[in-house]
This record gives sequence, C-alpha cells and structure tokens, in this order.
Amino acid sequence: AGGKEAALFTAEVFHMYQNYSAFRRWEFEVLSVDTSDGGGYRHASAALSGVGVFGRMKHESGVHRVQRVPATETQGRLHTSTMTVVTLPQPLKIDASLNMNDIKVETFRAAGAGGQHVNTTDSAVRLTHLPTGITVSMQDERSQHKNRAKGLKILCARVYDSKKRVVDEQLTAERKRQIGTAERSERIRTYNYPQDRVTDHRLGLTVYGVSKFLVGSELLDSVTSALKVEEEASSLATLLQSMEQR
Amino acid sequence: RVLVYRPLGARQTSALTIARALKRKWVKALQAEGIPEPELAVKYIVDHLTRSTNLHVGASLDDLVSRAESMLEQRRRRTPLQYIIGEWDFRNVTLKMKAPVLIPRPETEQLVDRVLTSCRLASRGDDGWVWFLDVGCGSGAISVALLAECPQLRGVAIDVSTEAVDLTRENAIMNNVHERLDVIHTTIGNCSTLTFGGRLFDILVSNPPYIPSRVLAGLDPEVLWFEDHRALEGGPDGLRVTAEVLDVAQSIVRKGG
Repeated sequence: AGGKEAALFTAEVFHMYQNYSAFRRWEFEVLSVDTSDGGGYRHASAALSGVGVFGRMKHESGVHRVQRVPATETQGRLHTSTMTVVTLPQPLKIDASLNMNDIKVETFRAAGAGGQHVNTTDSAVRLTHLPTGITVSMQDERSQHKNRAKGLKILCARVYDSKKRVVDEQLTAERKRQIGTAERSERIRTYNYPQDRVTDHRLGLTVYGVSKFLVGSELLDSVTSALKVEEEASSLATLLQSMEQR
Repeated sequence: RVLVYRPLGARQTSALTIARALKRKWVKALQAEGIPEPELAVKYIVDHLTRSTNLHVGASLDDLVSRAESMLEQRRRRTPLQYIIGEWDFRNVTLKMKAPVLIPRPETEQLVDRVLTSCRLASRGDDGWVWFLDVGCGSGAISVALLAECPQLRGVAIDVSTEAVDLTRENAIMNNVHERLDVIHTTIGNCSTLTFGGRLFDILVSNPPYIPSRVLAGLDPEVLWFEDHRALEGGPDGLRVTAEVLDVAQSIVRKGG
C-alpha cells in the first residue's frame, strides 16, 4: 500500500524470497508479476516447492513495513510504507481419473423384457457421476457402445472442471482471509534503514543489516528458524497445559 | 462469451430442411399406429439419406423427400428401421442388415466386452492365434466386432440359416476381417464331429435364441413378423438351444478355455 515506494519495496521483498529459495535449494517459479511505472511490483506471486517450504514461509504472512528515505523523495524526509505477504499451500494434484463404481449408467429399457424380445433404435446413454451429481447424456451415435465411450470422456472432463473449481474457490477464499487479517493486524516485521535493522515483532528479535537481510540468506534464515522454534515451543506449551488440566 | 457462427454445409441444410418437413407429418402418423420411437425413425432415415455416400449427384430435395417418405411408409407398416436403412452400427463397426437375419441388440455389445477381457488374457496357441467359435452368428456382429477389436484373434462362425451365413461373410469382408474368419453353414450338433483342423477352441461365444415358445406370439410386430424365429425361439423354457451349446462345448473347447 502506498504507491511507488511501496511497489519498490514489494519488489525487493519478492527478490529476497527468490534468493532465499536458492539459498535453501527450493524451486521458485514466478507465476505472475504486475509491475508499476517506476520499476516496482504492484503484485507478484510465485510457486515454491522443496523440503520444508511451507513450514518456514508460512510465518512470512502478514504486513511488512519499511522506514526509509525513498529514492523518489526530494527533500530527504523519512517515509513509512507497507506490503503484504500471503502464503497459501499448493493444492494437491487433482485426480482426473474416474472410478467406474461411482458412475451410474442408464440406457433404454423396454417395459418388460429387453434383449431379443425387443427391437430398439434407442441407443441413448445417460451417465451420472454419483459423488458430484454431474450428468452427461449422449445420443449422437447409433451404437450404444460408442455413446457410452463418448459420454465417459465428457463426464471425465466435467468432473475434473468441477473439482478444479472447488480447489480454486478454496484458494481464493483463503487468500482473501489472510489479506483481511493482515490489514486488520499489526505489522509483523519492520525494515528500518536509518538504524539499519530488521525487527520481527512477534519474536521481539532484532537483526542488524537491512541490505544484507534483503539478500535473503543467513540473516533471513536465522529469523525463520527462530520463528519455527517459537511455534514448536508454544504448541508444546499448549499441549502441556491441556494435559495438566486433566 | 463468444458465439461462434459456423455456416451449415449443404448436407446439413438439406438434412434439416427435410427433417423439419417430415417430422410433423410422420411422427403423428407413426404414433397413430402405435409405432415405438417415431422421432428416432425420422431422424435416422433422414440422416442416412443425407450422408454424403448416399447423396446422388444432382439429387434434388424432392428426390430425397420422396425416398424418405417411402421408407417411412415401410416403417408405418412395422418394418424394423435397421432393415429399411439396410445397415446399423454395433460397437465400433457398421454392419449390413437384411431380413430375416436377427438385428443385433445393444445388450450384446456388453457380451463382446466380456469376451474381449478373456481374449486379452488368453495366451496364443502354437500357431500364434487365439481361436473362438461363434455359435449362431446371425449378422456376424459378435465375430466381426471381436476380430476388429482384437488382432490376435481368429475364428469360426456357424449358423443354421443360409441367409445368416451369407450376411456374416459380407459383413466380414466389409470390415476387412474376412481373412481371419471362417463361416460355416451347419448345426450345433454337427460341431462335435467337424474336425476344425483338429483344433480345440480357446473361446466359445454364443447369443442363442432364448425366448420361451409361448412368449413369442406376444412380441412386437417388428420382431414377430420380420425376424427369423429360429434366432428367437428357445423351446418351452427358452433354454433348449443354450443346453445344446453347452453339451457340445465340452468337446470343442480346450481345457481352461
């Protein structure tokens, strides 16, 4: 938030994570970047994968605040800008295959006996995917066998689309929720240039060397490690507490 | 949303025009006679006539309409649609249809599925083939579909009807599987004495008549008046022919087949 300066800071933080991924030997795939004139990023997103990614990156969610004299500032005044980080777990691959047990197949049935007893030209097939209720009717072909095969292809595609939509909606909802929470909360970390320090407010921990921090190697790593330890300690404490209460 | 306009080709325009002209008149006429599936009759007749292979050069709309009308009149007299059109699809193949040879039923498509599973599991014999015997082949639907879908198969098809034997041979040629199929005019009883080249079959498949005699008279005219009763009637309990097939099976099918 806050125009060009914030966009510049956003880009710096994004690059910090990019370098950090290399440092931790994770894969970093840029998904989208929305640049602003002035050389910063309005939004940017990336997909990270590797060992322990989510455990460390989840603590980066929240508002990061920078205090410095911006490059654009002509009168040397100190500015405060913020940017928000959202971390979402990557969805598992959607299973595109259909289990035939989940599918109901309906075909022409003469009232009474079928088979040799009746002559029919009705080769229509209706397939229902029971778990989702998605239905496909097919009557293009004269052979029921062909209608079945065609119908299954379409059903497969529709079920996949539906599953994907559910996953996409969940991601969007979670993203909205995190942004909402971040905007209503205090900043999680301040990058103070005049005093050349980075403070993580959750730990009350200060590290010196803002530029070095933004390089995204040992300094950032020490902070994420500390946050991890803190999380483990507090969940251990909660566990002990609940045991004592019994 | 983008609407894509694809101009109709000549064939589709003709089909639509004819179909519209005929539908109202004939669906009513057919329904009045109690003919089942009247809309499908119009649809398939028009579709068949307007398929490019059936469109004569210079055929006018009037020609097509009058041909359609004469076919629909046959339908009004209960002739099965498949006999009127002279062909039908079975699984992935197209077969010629000719009265009184039995018209393949959709359920039989699933019978072929089951046989295919066995085929794929069977190991090839010394001559490199998996052999099947189709008892009561009719139009050849089962044999031709099997051969078309499983290249490691060879077979023998038999029927008591000469029309069926002829039709099966035609359909095998039409679908280019005739080199792997022998069609023989004979009875089930004869099977145990026929040597078939001294071979035992890996698979015996049959869709024998199974309708109990007393039920036959109550069937729709499409079946009763036009299809070969020898392909339908199975004695008092419907199982006479099935029993004969099973009797003979022991001597024709190899161990484990």
